[in-house]
Amino acid sequence: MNLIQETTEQTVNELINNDYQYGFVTSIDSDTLPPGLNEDVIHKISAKKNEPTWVLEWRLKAYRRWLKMSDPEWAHIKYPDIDFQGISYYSSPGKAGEGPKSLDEVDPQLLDAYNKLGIPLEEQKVLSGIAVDAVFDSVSVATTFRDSLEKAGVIFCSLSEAIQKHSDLVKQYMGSVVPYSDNFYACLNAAVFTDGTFVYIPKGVHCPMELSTYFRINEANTGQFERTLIIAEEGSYVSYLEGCTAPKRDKNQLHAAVVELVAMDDAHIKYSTVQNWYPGDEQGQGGIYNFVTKRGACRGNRSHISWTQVETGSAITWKYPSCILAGDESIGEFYSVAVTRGKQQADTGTKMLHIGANTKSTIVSKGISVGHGQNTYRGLVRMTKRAKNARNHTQCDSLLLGDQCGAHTFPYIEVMNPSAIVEHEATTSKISDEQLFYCQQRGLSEEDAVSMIVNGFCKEVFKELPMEFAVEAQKLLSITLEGAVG
Amino acid sequence: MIQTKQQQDWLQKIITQAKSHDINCNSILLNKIHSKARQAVMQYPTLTRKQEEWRYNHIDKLFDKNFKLSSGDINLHTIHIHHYLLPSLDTHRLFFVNGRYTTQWSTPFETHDKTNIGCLRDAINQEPKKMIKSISHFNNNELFSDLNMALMDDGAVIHIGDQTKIDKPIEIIYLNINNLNHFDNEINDGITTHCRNIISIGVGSETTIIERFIGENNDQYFHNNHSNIHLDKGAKLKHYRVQEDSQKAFHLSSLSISQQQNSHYESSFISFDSAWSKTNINVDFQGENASCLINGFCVVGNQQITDFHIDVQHNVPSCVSKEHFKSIVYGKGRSVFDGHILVEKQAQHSDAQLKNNNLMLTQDAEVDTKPQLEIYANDVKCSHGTTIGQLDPEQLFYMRSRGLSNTTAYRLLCLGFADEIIKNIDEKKISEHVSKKLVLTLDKQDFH
Amino acid sequence: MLTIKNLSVTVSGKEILNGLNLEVNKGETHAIMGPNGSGKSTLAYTLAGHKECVVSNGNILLNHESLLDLDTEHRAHKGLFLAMQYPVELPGVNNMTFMRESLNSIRRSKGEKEYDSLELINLIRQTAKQLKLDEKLLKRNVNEGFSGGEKKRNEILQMALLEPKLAILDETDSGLDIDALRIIANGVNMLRTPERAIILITHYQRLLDYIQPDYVHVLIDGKIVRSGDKQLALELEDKGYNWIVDGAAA
Repeated sequence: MNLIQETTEQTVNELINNDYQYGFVTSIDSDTLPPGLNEDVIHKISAKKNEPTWVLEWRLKAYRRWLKMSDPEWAHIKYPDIDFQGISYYSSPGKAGEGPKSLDEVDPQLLDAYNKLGIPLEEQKVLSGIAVDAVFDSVSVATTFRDSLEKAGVIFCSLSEAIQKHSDLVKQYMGSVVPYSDNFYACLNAAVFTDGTFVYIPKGVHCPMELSTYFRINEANTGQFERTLIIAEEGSYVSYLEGCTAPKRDKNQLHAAVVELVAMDDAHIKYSTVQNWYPGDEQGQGGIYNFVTKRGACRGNRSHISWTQVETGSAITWKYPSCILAGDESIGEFYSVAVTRGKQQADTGTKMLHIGANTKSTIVSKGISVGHGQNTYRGLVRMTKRAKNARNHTQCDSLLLGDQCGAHTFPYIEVMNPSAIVEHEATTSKISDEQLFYCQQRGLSEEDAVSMIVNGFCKEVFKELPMEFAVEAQKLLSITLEGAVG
Repeated sequence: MIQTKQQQDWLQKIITQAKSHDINCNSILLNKIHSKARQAVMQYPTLTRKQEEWRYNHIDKLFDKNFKLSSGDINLHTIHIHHYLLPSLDTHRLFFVNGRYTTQWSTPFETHDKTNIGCLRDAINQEPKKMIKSISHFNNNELFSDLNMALMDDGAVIHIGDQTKIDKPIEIIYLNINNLNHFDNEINDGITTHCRNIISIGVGSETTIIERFIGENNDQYFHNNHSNIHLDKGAKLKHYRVQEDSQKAFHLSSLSISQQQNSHYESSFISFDSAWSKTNINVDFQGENASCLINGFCVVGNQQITDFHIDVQHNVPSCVSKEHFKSIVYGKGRSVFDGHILVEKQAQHSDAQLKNNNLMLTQDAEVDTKPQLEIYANDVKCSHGTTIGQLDPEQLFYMRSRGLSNTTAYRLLCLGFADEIIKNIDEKKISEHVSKKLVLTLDKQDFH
Repeated sequence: MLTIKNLSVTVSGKEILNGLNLEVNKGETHAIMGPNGSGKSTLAYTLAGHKECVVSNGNILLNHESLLDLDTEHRAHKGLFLAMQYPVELPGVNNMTFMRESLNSIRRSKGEKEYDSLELINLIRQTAKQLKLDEKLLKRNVNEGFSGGEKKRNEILQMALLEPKLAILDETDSGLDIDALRIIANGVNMLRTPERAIILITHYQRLLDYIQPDYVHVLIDGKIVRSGDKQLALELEDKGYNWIVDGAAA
């Protein structure tokens, strides 16, 4: 009768050995700066991108500030010191100078890489109706569907292009939600960001399609410093999808992105992420260090920002997509599934800062720890004096699969207004033997049972994802959890 | 990080005063412990808001004050003892005035071979080696615990032998009054007193301990109280703690509770008044199947800040911990709660539940709460739940439509809110006293 | 169809079943009765392959094939179904999805074509209707927030869908009022076919008024001490288990 026990161990091993599906390296010429960071490097990045002086000055200001800051230590994660001088801060696919003007000009190897990832640009254009702004390493190489977006007045382009063509908008909003001095990694990003995405939705426009960017990290030792800026004017709506996969690497790669969202009166921004970067091997070698600053400002009354994330990859995830609820009756939401297995560590959560009256926030966090994974929810809910009748509901649930993992919850709740109502609940559980037995009695294999129960555990979050993403997320979760039994 | 000058000066000053009192202390061993702790105190880094411990309760408020260490030289004649006793509460009483045991108002317990209830001074005199040995085992790890060790010269010692049941509750009263000391006309912000209590409950024994903290009117003082509590196998301790310090008091309590197999610790922490109050409760499970049930209730108003830090460590399998803390906050009051549950890898089948409910009655009130779970074992039942809100306007309206005044309606709803905690106090005299005190406190407030 | 030979089972080191023998042929309905703690539920869980039930001796054969080396799901694939006394809740797992996964995994194991979603929805709805089951239950999560009666009906629905060769109903009557009991019994009776064997595990005779068994066995201290027909159940109700215990001792 020890059969089940053995199967469990066997499947756990299989799970641990479940090689990263998307681990391959594309070799293409790249225009890469040698490793190291100093003012000269920043001048070079800025010059390569032909930036206006104000951007260079902003970068330098950030760099000088960054030199005085230190790596944050408060998160529940452990990793060796990062050698910031060992990183190359600029890498552009193809030859230096001009970027490709159309898909035909894109390096065929690069397109092939996307095909392996299951996101063929050509097909995707036709089939899914999603405009894809693909970021390969640090420079945007292809943007599709631009025409129909242009007709609607939507600007969807790389940040570099926006800096050239919509300098006023960028100048007005970049750094207005996440100041360059915000934190160590945001500051580094401000100094060295190479590219990213810019979205502008004019007043009253419902963006005709879901906007999507696939990030890829390709060059060895190339830190990725994306910057995304999304502005939704009064009464507009946009749904933005961010999906990530990365090729297998031996050396840790740093990713320090910044995402800023601005929502004016009655505007609604929905930002969804599926993150499946290389988590490192079973010894914990390699894998992406993902230090991201994501923040949305609900500036207008009745504005609405919603973050949904499914985090299954990266060796380290450090990210807290947050909302500043300044407008009256504005709404902030955070829905998260974070899975850590092997030696993965995640310290993720959100901040909801209630400033306006009748503001509302919802936090649903589902943490799943497998093997030696450590999963931490860290969140802040602050009701300021002005936030009359503000509401927050937080639900943090942890699921532990295996007896070597950890699940941690560190919520901070600060209330300075008596009319505010805050409710916070947290639970920790495992899949019970009875649940497994029940499913198996109905003919399901152990893996299918686990996968089904875990998907049930995540349901509240998945239902917030756009349809295509929800399917992808469920698939991803099932692959990640194969055979993991508590 | 080195200490700021402010912190350094503040500590140095009190330690210097302590040294001048030492002349009265004839125990060489105690002197040794003092001097070790005094060195340790100066080694701590500066306490700042950046430390989680002091994030919401700013230590500067304390370091801004110029407290004078109370000496043993006090005048008891002006005290009316009956102001401070609860009528018809029948207990073995240990009475401390300004940190010093007073035989006059204590009801001594007949010591026999198994059990000893008395004060630290006597215990050190009678069994110096044994006491010093147990004291030197304490691991302080925190500035104010070490400060307590550096300055202590008295406290309660309760040692209950194996298989013993004490016939009535043991009551410890800490009274702090400023004008009993004869200082040389030196300008100061009141006295500071430090008590160290050592409590151990033997195998299979059962006891109830009541602690009451009382201050005189508008006296300002800083009381630093530290208890080491040990429950042996199968021991049961019921512990009720009522804090009714003066409105200007600074109060700091730390409790280190260690529990052996099958022991049960049950407590209620009730807190009123005091300008600045911080209570640290650490529970360390050392044997399987032990359990603790810790309840707390505080009323925080005026310019008060009341801060509870709970840290429960499940180091062994199959222990149960349940914490439930409630606060009512009004005026410019600030209630801080920090509850941390740690379940270690080997502590399978742990059951840990943490609840924190807060009621805010006025515009300027503030609640900061941080319920934390740190779980390294998978087969466990752990949860926390937190709520912050105001009284239900529908309920208030309903009550007023039946003719109740606004104040009465508030009072009744607040009492109902508090009752969940107060009803767990088995000593009827204490729960009645707490309810009465709550009504008095609420009646003094105008909520509109 | 089912042969249990000299079966001994321990749970957490304690012997619960002790040399149990039973033979069940297709088309037959057997009732197993016994006082609390006699090992009735252990028998049910052992047949379904619960890992806490450790077989220390004997064998279980389903259609001449030993079940002992088979995992729970593989026994289910062979046509064994256990309706549980306390059906487990699966938070967030949709009832319809669960039944689809379950039915298709069994069909897959037999090399049969899997149902597509539309076929399945129609099939499940139809079956639910036959069993007079509220369709709303299909949209909810598996057993989550179900009343006792709803949980039991959900079990019978699954039984109807999965078309087992051998169905074991563990205390399906417990906690049901008379109306719910009647609905469940009707459902079970509908599922009685010449090809299917049913084992009813019950504490009370009451259920047997609605589902007439072909055989009744009395289980005491991990052994079948008496077998008979429907009459035995009535006698038991009349005289209590002590009658058998005393009789066995004599």
